[in-house]
Amino acid sequence: MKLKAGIIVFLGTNCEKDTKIALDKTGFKTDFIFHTETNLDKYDLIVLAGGFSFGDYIRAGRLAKLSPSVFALKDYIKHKKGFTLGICNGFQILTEANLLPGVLIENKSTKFICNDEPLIFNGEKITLPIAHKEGCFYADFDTLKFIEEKNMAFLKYQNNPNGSINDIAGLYDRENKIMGLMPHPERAVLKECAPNGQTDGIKIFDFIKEEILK
Amino acid sequence: MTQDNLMLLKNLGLSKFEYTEIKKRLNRAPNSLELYLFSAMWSEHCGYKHSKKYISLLPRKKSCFSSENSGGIRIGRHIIFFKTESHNHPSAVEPYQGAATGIGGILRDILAMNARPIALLNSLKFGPVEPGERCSKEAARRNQYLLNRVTEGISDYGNSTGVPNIGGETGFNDCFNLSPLVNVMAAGICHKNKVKTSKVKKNSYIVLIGSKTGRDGLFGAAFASKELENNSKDRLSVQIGDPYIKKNTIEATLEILKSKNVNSAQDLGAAGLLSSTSEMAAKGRVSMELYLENVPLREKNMQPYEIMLSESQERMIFGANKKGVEEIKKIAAKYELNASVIGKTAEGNTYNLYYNGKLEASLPINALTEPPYYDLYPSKPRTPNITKDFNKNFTPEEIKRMIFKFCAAPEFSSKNYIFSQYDSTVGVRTLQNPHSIGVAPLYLFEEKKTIGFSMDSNEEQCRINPYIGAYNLIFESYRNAVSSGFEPLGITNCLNFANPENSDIAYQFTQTTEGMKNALKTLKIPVVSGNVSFYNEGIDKNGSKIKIHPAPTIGTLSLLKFKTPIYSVIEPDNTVFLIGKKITNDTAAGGSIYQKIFFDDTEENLDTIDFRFEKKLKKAIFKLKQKNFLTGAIDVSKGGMLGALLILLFNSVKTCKKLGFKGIFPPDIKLLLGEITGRYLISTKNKDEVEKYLRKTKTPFEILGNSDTTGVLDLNFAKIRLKELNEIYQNAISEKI
Repeated sequence: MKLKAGIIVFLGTNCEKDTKIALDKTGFKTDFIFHTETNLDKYDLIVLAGGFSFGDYIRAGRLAKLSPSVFALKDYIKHKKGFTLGICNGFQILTEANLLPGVLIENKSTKFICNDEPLIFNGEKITLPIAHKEGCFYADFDTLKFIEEKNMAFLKYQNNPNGSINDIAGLYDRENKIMGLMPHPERAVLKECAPNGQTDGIKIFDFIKEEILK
Repeated sequence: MTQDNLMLLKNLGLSKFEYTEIKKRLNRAPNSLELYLFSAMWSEHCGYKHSKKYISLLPRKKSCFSSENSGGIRIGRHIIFFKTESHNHPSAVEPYQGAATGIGGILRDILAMNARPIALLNSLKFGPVEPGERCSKEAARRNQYLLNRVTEGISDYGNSTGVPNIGGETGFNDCFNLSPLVNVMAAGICHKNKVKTSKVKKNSYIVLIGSKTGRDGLFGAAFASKELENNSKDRLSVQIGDPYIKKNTIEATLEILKSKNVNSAQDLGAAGLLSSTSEMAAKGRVSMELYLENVPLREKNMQPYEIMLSESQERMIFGANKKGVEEIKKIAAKYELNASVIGKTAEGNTYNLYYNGKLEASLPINALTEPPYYDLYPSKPRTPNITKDFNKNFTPEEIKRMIFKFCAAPEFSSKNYIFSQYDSTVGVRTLQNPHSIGVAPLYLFEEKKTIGFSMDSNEEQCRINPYIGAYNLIFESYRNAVSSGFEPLGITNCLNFANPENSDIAYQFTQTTEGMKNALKTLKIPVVSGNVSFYNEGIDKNGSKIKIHPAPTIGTLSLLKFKTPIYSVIEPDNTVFLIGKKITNDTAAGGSIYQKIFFDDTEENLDTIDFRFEKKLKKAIFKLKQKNFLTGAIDVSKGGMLGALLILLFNSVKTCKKLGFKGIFPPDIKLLLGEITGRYLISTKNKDEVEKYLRKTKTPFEILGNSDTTGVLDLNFAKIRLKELNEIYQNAISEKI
């Protein structure tokens, strides 16, 4: 049986189709869920995709956390119904909704950065595209200690492009199965069009699959 | 005519002749609202009244829908729509919103065809960002500001819409000091049976969706049809964009156009509601009446002319039957957009505007949508005295310094500072960082094929000789495609000029279109869509008029002929061949950027095209690719032979840090950096086989040298550490800003 994935589509989300292509390719059966949905329980994986939810005019993710589907997501997590993944804007929403620790603030350069970025993923060197303006991860001392203790920083930048503290590019809360990352693994899955022909994004999705099946 | 009407005419930019013409067409005097309507529809921006006669001569064969919002080229079962648009005037006064709404506008043109936007490109032209002889400190600072704000506008808006910004170009020239150019291009894809046009059917309801209508962008069309006057009032004519509402409008429109009950679509761009609705009616050959009180307004007390001419962004309009209206309302509500029925169509040919039940304007549609088309009166300017000798002798040490200066010059250096602010990978179709290849490739899932886009311009060449310049421009784009393994299929153009009512500019314009036409006919490539931007001139502080050089920009769609593209790269232990023409002392290489950088002048004759020779080179490149002999290839354009070699090396040092190159080059600046037609560089591991093939086919070539892992660029007369030169090349623009 195929694992079922649902991608929440907020107004302003713009990576949902890309994410579906990647999830389908890596063996999920994927649906789009409009953000007004209030029950997510039938899915093994809920994805918050990249984009600019509700325009992100106040701060990235600030409005999306008030959407009915994010309240449903909190229930989903509380009752351990499945795995939660937030990519880029999705990661921003997860931190805004206090589902992951820390915050994402404007890049040190104050500019949008689009690049192929070398990363360390669970100890392995990989490359993934990044594309964000508010991707600088920040957390205070205690939160950082918490992150280190729980071994949450599963993804780190090799050449820190945005000023993130401790080079953090992604967090994984193993207990509650919540993962958030700024890079776009869904953009490095298809051989036909992945930049430089590299498909390291598959490694992230395979890891998630393993974690779900654990 | 009353004194008031005379003043109004003057303010609206209508001539006395045009007023007489309006009276003739109406058989009466127009009321003031009608006069407003005519002035907008007959503006250069909407009516193309000075250009239509000339651009209609460009070849169209093999294009589809070229008289619609956007034309396209068929690939398999799909049509790729693409178009360029200029947003020069708004960007000069409000660069952030000007550039952003340029993106918004061009996306709507694609969207109106029911095509999902899949790519954005842009061609940006600014005055120098460094002070110099022709650019004061103050002007350079302003140009830096314009560059930063235009880039941010495109970045914030484009990225938010989720359409990848995959490439383009940025140029610098003092002729753009007062009139920067912001040309944007968008492309979209639609199944051939699902295309919607603006041809509205009779007995349809007219439904407006999207943002509310406000006073922003009022008179935008008229504003873009005159010279800039450095007037802060002009800021009111710039539209304000909202990329979030745009994204919702895109999704809503594509959902709405799936319905059989919706028969037509049109975007609201220049001259807003007026031009969109009147063009729909004209194309559909029907009558239309509009009820202006039904238009949702953002501001109080808006007059009928303001409602009709507002260029508020993020609005689309549809023609639908009763069922369609309900469907549109439902979809708009899902995306939190307004939707209002604002009119109806019927059999006939009149355009009636009602406001609170009162008939405010009543016009025959054709009278409005077909302005008088004018002839231009070109006269050839006095031929400049071309005596300049750029071929001075420099010492090897001087040339080495010049190479450093060349790599640091914004005209040549890396544009990554700008490009990295655009999301180029959203949509998962983008193949590769576009700066490593001649055209930006995109994968079409729908057809399992790869297409490519590029944008090019060459204002220095067009200044020297607009006919040859435009002819060469088409071939530069052709070589871009060929060097990447692509076949060009069609172009879109954006013709940027100063005031065409002056005979010298008329000459530039007519010669440019003629050159373009002949080059395209030779190549059998059509123009699918386009845009003309006149009046790109201004008056500087000293009161003298600064006109831009003739600056046609073209955007090209091409199709990959192989499994993988040819990238502009090189690996260690490759041999580099120059394939094509050689530069000698007598070669004409006018318009080269090294001349502009080192001599502040490019006045020399231009090299011309030998089509049979170009075809022969293409055959050689494609054959070598087919035989799998190519590591990489690049066409030799800006920066000449050395420029092309440096780009090959700079593109590849990222993956091979110790990359070096050794060759024997004479210390001759023209030979190294001069720009002529008909040349490519290729990098190969198969030196002997390539040499044998080129000899057999009598293709002229020259071996430039070999790459290695010394980290040194050894030109024989000079040795340069490649890493050092690359850093200068990569950081030149960000350091100057």
